[in-house]
Amino acid sequence: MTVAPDPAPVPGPVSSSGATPITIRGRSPWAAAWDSLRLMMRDSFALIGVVVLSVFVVLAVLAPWLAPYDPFQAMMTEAGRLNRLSPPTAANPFGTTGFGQDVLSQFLYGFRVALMVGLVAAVAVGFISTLFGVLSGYFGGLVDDVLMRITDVALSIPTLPFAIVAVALLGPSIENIILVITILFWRNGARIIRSAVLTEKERVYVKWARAAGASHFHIIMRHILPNVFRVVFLWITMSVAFAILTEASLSFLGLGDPKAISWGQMLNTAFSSGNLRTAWWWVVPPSVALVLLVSSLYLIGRAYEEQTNPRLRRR
Amino acid sequence: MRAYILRRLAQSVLVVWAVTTIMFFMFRVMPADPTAILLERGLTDEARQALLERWGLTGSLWDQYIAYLGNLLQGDFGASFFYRKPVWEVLFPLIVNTLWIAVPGLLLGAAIGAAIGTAVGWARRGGKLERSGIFLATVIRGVPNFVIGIALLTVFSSTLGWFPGFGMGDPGETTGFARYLTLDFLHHLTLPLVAVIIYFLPENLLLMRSGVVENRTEDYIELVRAKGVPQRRVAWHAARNSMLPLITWLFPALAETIAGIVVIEIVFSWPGVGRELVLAVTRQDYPLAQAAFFLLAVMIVLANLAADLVYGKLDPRVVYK
Amino acid sequence: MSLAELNARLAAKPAAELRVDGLSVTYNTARGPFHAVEDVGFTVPAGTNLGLVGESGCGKSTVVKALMGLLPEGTGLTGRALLDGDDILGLTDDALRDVRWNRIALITQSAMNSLDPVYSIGDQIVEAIRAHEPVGRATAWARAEEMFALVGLPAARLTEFPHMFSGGMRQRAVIAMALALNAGMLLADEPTTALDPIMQSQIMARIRGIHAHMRRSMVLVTHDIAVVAETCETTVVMYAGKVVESGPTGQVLGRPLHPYTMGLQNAFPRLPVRGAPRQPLISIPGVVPNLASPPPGCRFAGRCPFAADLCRTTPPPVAAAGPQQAACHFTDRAEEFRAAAALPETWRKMRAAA
Repeated sequence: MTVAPDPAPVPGPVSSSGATPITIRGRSPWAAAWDSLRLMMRDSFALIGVVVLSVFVVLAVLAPWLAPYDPFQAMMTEAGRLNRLSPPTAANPFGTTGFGQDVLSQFLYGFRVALMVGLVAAVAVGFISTLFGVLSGYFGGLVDDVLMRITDVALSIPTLPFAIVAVALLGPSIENIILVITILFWRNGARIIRSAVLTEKERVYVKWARAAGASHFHIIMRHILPNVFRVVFLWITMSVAFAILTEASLSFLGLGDPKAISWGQMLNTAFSSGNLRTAWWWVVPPSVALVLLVSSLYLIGRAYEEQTNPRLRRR
Repeated sequence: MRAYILRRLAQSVLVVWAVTTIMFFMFRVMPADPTAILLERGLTDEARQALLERWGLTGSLWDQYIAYLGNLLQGDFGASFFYRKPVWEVLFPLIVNTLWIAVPGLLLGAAIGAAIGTAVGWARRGGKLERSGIFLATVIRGVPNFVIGIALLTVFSSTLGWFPGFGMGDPGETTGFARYLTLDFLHHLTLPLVAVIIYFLPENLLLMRSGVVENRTEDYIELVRAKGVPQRRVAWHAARNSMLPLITWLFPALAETIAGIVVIEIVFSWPGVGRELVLAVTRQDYPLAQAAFFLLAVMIVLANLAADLVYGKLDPRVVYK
Repeated sequence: MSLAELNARLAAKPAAELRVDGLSVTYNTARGPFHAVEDVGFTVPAGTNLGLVGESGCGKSTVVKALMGLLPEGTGLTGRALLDGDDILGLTDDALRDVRWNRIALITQSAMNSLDPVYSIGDQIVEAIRAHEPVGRATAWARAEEMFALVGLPAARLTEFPHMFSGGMRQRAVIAMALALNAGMLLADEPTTALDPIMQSQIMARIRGIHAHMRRSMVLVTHDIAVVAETCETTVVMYAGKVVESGPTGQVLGRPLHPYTMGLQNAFPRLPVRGAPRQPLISIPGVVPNLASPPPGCRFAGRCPFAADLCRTTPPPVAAAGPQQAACHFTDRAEEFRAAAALPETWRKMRAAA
């Protein structure tokens, strides 16, 4: 393997004094991922997002220990009657639901569902989008044609209606919801990553690497992937947000997993039992948590967006 | 130009066909049996067979598919299990209702979002207006649409009682189109429409802001500034050029937006296509669900077509080929 | 206001005088301050042309941007620029509204991208006119048609969009726009750089013709000293953000005092003088120093074949010989330098050393 010839001296005041010439070896994908993460953390809004997200992850992990009751357990009054719609008390700090269940416990278990849906969808969507995006962008040809035609059609499928129909037909369960989310969101990601790969492929150092006899695998791992990482991260962040929103919407429409408690379901029960106005303690916690979670993801996503688009950077 | 429109129409028809096919097989291949709802009614075998024939559920899957496509071409969506009347009769009045909140909601959301986005994009980089604008827009963008709906409903309907929060109101004496011009209808329209606008606005705001930030350092903006025109006029040039990417961005966003309208229709019990889809799915009324899904997909395809044509009007560089 | 009234009103504007004094521009970049322009001064008498020459990146365009108020926010700016006695430096956009285009107009560097792609050229010229004169669209359009005729473009093409124009036509359109309000001062920022050589000379001939006809004042920024020799009464040579030599064009280009001016002359082809040996083309070896950390002495010292130790440690004073001025420690040896600078070996030695 040879080293790239010295770049010609750059005329003008912006001389290349501090810049290192790009060598043919490229970067390790891990180093690139780390760089990208560090850059993102410099954005104060993204930092807010990361802090909120971390708190949420901790709460999700500790939920079974923090929750005072079983989320499905009905509370009884001392007189032995169902303790329905109790406002916050010492025993039930967030009050009770219309079925006498403890709102705080349901709320805490909601963290688990939201973050699990988000996490699994991120891994699945991230992996599939990156795989197809890189393959179709790098190799082009038949793979690319087929992918483009599929996404053309897929982009005309209304997302939530599709999810409603598919989940209703497959049966409402967390697994099916995640499956449908993956089917829905890989397509945009693949398209976005593909166009990033197309740009990277044309770079001079990729051509040098090809000329020097590097394998396709080597080029993808050392030159293409590290440089499209920001786009991949951006897309993963966004798909986590979309996934959580889709699960919440489905649950709100009554298509959630009956065996789990999610924020969307809590709101659905409150809404359909007509207690929206009276039982504010039942409505506010899941709403606020959803807004905080999705907004933090968008704040993080925005920081990546600002990074991936050099024209948005401050000069 | 005409050739271009024809070709785009042909493409749209192809996309609609593909979506229809996916949808058809999804409904037939999935584990849930569409005849189950009919069987539960304890019918005799003959009566059941007659019913199956009437709903077009006999014959091989392929025959059913061909028959379905044939009927679709004639505008026949089949009959609703639940309402026991042709699907078209159920859905037709609902299309207008959905458009009443979708179209003004999209347009107003885009217009207001673009206007504020221009102001935020034109503000000093790193300044108060820019930072608070971005932060607020990003946070509001993260509010799920049913939470927007619930909040509007609780505050303006249940608590303050300013607006009704349920349905479209009583048509009373007025019939036909005149109904949409009554004060009562507009009164009912307000909250769902505001929900659609709030839902759609932040995304437009952020896109427009990015566009303006990108454009404000372009050479042509420098020349406009040098001409000594008022600042608003300079910002307008940047905004006018940023509308082009905004329109291409709206394309994938449309699918999400129509999806969002489903939820808002549910929250406000607005009798639209999206709400009927959810109701049909929970009632296992598959012909109706299928047709509602089809209609939503057609709306998206048509909106895309419109976006394409508008783009051509806004960008003189576009040549229709 | 009718077209005749508008024309009469605009024609009455006198040519402007521009006096730039101690102009310094510092860009604040992520890597620290960048002194793009330092202590630049020159005077453009009313109705004359001044040529501002130098290599790319020497700060010429920054001077133009500073004069038009187009520098990015947060750029450090000191000094004065008196346009007919009014300081126009560092004014806000609002305060500049009446100055821009009314009194000082710009012919931009890259006409390729300097027109808004989504408006017709006519609309863009009309916009400029109506921003300053209380006329209707029809009158402004008629004025735009006249400007098009002046730069040799058919009036019918005013309705077309920038992408339908060739590079040369776009440059003419930009010139037509700059003339639209008959501003007393024109700033032409490398108006021909993006064009092919034939188009370059056509455009320059057009600018000279217009100048003879309208008698405006002009600052012509270029790296082509041949263009300056043909067009400008005064010449200012810039190097690395500073003025190294200035004076009447005949003197500056005929008997340069600064080695950089001598080097610039060598780098451009000249018509051979009968009987004299053909002048070879010699380029100046090396690159402009990084202005984030400029060298302590003379900024040209690193590339100057005549540099002494003094040059590397002490910034040179400005020495005047009549109206001609040069910032060099050894202006008294200019005669000797000129003879040496004409020889390729002088510069070749530098290249070997570099």
